Amino acid sequence: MLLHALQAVLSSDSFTGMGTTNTVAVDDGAALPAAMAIVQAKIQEIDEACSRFRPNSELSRLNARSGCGDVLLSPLLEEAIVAALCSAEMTGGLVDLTVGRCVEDAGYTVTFRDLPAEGPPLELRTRRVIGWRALTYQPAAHTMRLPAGVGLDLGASGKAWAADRAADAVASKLGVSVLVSCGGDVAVCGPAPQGGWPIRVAVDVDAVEGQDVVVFDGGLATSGTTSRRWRRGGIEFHHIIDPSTGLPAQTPWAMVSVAAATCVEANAAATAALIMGHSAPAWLDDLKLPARLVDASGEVRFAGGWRASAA
Amino acid sequence: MTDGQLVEPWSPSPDEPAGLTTYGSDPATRDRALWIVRLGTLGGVVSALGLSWLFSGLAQAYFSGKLPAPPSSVTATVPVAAAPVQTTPTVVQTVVHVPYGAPAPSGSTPGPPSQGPAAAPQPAPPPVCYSTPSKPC
Repeated sequence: MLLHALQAVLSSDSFTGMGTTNTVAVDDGAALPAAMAIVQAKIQEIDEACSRFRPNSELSRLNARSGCGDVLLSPLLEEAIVAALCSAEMTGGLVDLTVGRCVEDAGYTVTFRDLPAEGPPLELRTRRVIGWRALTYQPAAHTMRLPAGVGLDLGASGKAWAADRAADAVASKLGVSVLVSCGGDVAVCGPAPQGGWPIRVAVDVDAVEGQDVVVFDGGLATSGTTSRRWRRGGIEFHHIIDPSTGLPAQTPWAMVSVAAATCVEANAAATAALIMGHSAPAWLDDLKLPARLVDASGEVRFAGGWRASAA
Repeated sequence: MTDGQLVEPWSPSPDEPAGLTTYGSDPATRDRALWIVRLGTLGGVVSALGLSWLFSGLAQAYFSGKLPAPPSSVTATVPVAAAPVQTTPTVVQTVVHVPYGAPAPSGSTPGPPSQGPAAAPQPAPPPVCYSTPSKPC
């Protein structure tokens, strides 16, 4: 109880957006309604511009013009694409935004809510994706040119970027410390509350297994293959694409959680570690990225200074 | 002709009717016809002169190259103070590209946070959120 008393009084609320649950927490309860309004507006505009599932979204229109020359980007979509390009560069292309067609080929063509859990067999080919370096992005002109047949998917970095962006907006407009979680990708901004932001890292909200941690700055993101799964022809698919094969990644990890300077970086590292496979802990150690990895059997490994329990 | 005989001009056959080849002329009828021709000729000349005079007059009246008289001005006089004022509509939208607002990535690789996550003290406070693989809803 004494330890709980040291914790700041935090207020939080949740809403549905971008096809997932988003949570906002602040250290000043009076600011929560305004913070919620800001975050909801940010998420809404991001969903409308960057969703692959909305036929009229700016991203869908950009993908429809692949092979048709330079396309002028709105400031919002440009930010999202830059964040995705940063993720690709930081991970050596393991987290690549040019996997859009591969995700669709694997059957993920509509929002997950509308995606049938079962379906007929798919005929897929193993092929390396064209890669983010094949995109022609002109920062000065704010244009993007997609090679013919290439579609962008911002799903790998979009929620983390949205969390960073929304948290930054709340902190700058309201002057409060804030936590924003978009589908489990968490960004915090402003001075950490007393005792830090308490977060539970788990495979699911209802899961018994997990770890309670406190976060003080930056971002915390978890990537995994346990959710967003579907079956076609009796074969199970998931949404994390390995750019070297263009197919759902074959990985020993069920989920990887990483803390980093920003949520975008944390998400990029978590997804890259998932795709990287067995060499991921060493890579995370080298980068000094605190990480928690859970393999398919449920065994937990730590890397980068993430501790199993309080010292 | 080879025999040196002269061929007489053609003459009507005594069997043909005399009315077909005989041009009988009554002087009174001939004179009347001459007068009709003279009067017709004179009338035609007079008619031609009259029509020429008529059309030249019309041409002078209507195709002389003179500009038509301008219509009288009917513009209403509107007081300046009562004249409607049209404001310029705003048709230009300024688009501002703002650099990525979140903290910039620390480099070409993901950077660690200033202070890494710590295990929560026991008993753990209730979490404000969960970090899980993205759950659809």
